[in-house]
Amino acid sequence: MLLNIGLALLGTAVGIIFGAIPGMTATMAVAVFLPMTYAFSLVPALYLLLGLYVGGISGGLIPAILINVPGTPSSVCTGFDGYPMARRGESERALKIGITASFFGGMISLIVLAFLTPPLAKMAIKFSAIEKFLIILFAMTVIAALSKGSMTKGVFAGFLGVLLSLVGELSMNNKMRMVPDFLKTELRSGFQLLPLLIGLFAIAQMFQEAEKGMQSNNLEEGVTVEGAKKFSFSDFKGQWVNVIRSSLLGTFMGILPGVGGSAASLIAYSQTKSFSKHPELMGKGAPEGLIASESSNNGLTGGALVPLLSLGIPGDATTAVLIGAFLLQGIQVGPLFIDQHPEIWNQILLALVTCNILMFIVMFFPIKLISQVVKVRSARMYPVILLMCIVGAYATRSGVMFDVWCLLLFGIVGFVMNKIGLPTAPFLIGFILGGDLEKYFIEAVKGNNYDLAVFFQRPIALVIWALIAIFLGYSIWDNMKGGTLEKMGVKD
Amino acid sequence: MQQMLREWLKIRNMHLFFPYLIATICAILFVIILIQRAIKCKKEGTPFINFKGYHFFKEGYDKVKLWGSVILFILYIITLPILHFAWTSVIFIFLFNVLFEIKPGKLFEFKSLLISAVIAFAGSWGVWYLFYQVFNITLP
Repeated sequence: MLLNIGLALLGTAVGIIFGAIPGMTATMAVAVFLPMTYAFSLVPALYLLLGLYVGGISGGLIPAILINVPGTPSSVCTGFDGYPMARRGESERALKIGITASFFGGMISLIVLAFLTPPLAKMAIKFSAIEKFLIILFAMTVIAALSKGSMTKGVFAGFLGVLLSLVGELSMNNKMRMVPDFLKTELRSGFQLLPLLIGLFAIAQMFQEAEKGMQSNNLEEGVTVEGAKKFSFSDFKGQWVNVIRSSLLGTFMGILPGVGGSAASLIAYSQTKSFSKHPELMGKGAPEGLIASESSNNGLTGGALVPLLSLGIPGDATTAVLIGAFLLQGIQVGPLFIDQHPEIWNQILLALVTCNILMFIVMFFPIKLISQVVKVRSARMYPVILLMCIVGAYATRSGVMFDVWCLLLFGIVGFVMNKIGLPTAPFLIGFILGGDLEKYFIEAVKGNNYDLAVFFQRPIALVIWALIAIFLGYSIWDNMKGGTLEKMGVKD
Repeated sequence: MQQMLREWLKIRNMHLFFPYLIATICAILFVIILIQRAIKCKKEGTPFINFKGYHFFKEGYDKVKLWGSVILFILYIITLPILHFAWTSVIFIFLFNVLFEIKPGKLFEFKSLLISAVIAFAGSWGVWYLFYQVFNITLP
């Protein structure tokens, strides 16, 4: 047992480091450590790998909050409110809220995993390409919610992101599109998400700071960390519905194979904004946005294990690597797994509880020290961030220099977009979701005799359409209300 | 519509369907943005295109640091395959530190240069050791 806890601790700590470095992901951490599990039997190996998974997903909140660079794609929404809080001097509070929300998200998804795995897996398998396409479309509604005040520009930036995500080869017919001849090798699989994400946020921000002369740190003018609001568990007062809703949304998105953590976090964020009593504060440092994002992306950890363990289908890239650990030990995951290996099943649940508790302990208590990063002057911090970004971009495809050039390219793109008033967050969201949008659309239409009516025939599809209509309608109304208030000279 | 989709999604040209669709949506949205701007300008009585007083960069922006960082970044990427990660990073992280620390009237301070060197050495070799040696991750 001690060995298991030790390995879980190692996994969680290393996972947090991977998650915290922009460009490094939980998938990469699990893949790096997979060969090491040869030395162990299945149970200790699972403690190590699940620790890496939980830590890797959780660590992404640190750079998202402190420097506005999402450490992992699933923490994109964390920075929307976490970074403004850090700029107000509340970095420690924001980090602690994020860590606590991550812990709750992980534990709620674990409860779902423990009690509802077989029925949920059966339900998830009923989700065809039609429903998956609509879920991706639903996740895209967050673009409208994020673009208050300039909705057309936000939606335009979002569709530009979708267009960019289509560059490269379509795997369904192996044909290239939008790729110049001289880049056919480098762009066969299109632009990679991580260099784009890091470039758009970290490098663009470095250029912006350089333009201003690297004069200050990340804090707003006149703000001190000492005078800022401190964390207390009462920050979660009135947020329990948000925590549970976002965690369950994350868990459910995890259950759907191929939908991904970014969609989970985006939908949870958009829902929280719609249900919020103060939606106007979201995106400006509201703890509820941070809670939504972090509880949903950690909710994913338990959710993604549901199809893996009950159907043998990985829910995301990390669980696809986890399958390797089972195969190495000669264990077949699938519909009979829980009945045939109840002792391993119990150990998986115990490992997840252990890793979530360890993640909380490892991150919560030393975070005061880490939060001091906001005090470091930009001139000293950005060279180190750049170093990490280079490592992250290069490691994306295990050593492709073109990805490092993309880092610079998207840094310049992000800088120019900020200058001309095109928001970068919708652009990134469009890029993240674009590939899946196309894949599921083509699959759905081809599988149903090219009839678009299929999108309106199944009951689950109709429910998702209703949700899309409600939240789009709300965002448009909210945007128009904002415009009217602006005309009246009232600021949010 | 069904027939049109069938034609578009034939195996030989299905890769073009979504790019054309999304590009069309982008074009429509771009036109809407222009119309919105035209209406706004008409209401406010301002010209549609107005370069007077327009600055792409902030007024009095730090040219040395902005363009210096772009040039250093390009040189960093070019040098990486030649000198490899650790030594290239030591050199360029040091140069970035020096560039960002330049203050008007005080180009180089010994203490500042020393801190820059320590950050460059410790950062680059620390990252190299952790990722290349411990985690066996490919570095340039």
